[in-house]
Amino acid sequence: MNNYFEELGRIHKQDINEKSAKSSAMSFQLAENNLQKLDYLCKVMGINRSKLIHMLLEEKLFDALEIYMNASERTIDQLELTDNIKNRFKTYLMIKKELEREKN
Amino acid sequence: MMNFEDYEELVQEESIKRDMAIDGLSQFVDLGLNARIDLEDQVMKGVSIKLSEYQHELVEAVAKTIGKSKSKVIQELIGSYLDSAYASYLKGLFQKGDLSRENLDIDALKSHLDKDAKELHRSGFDDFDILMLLKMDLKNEAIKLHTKKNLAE
Repeated sequence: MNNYFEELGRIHKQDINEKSAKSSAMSFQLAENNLQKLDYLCKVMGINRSKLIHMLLEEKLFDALEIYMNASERTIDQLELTDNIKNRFKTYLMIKKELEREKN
Repeated sequence: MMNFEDYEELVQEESIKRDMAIDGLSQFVDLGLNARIDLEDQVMKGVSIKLSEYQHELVEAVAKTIGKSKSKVIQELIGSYLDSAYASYLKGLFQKGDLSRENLDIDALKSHLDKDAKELHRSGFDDFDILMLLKMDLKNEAIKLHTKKNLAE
């Protein structure tokens, strides 16, 4: 186990980086019972809704996009992605493939 | 090229759809099935969150690609991955000793999940504790808990 203060410092560095990024609001709809579940689980995990959604976006949105791409039998170029997102998606797929190869 | 199992499944699906159709209008069954995935049959509530410029761009690009709203993208992201996210959190929280896939404090985990299950039952989620044990790949613990609950009923 690492030094407590070192670990805490790393966690706070990440929080500061996130807070310093320019942000703006976005609204969405959620079924009432799912919202209650989201709020309860966020409370247990000690994070707010925005933080949880940031983590899901970071870790899962490209996964979801890949599932969609495969199920719709389309290629990356057939998806209407901006150049920035397309390049990041390509990098994500490349890293994923590499990790899978290492695992096997 | 479709394999035999896929072909068999497709034939079976078509046969069920033909049986479901009234006056042979099976294309309308398809139309209904496709529309079904966007049905919002529950009371919806508005939620506001803060996103960075990049996150906005990302959600917007995915929404445009799949032909749905940004709200729908976030909604489905939560619906699809919230349980797995929480199961991952629990794996970290109840890690015991050195970091390892096996070193989990099972008793503490079960006691924590018992509280979660009671709380979430009030929002209409049944057996959240069993679901989490299964998500965490603790099948034997999930079966034990299921049996215990059944005996208690």
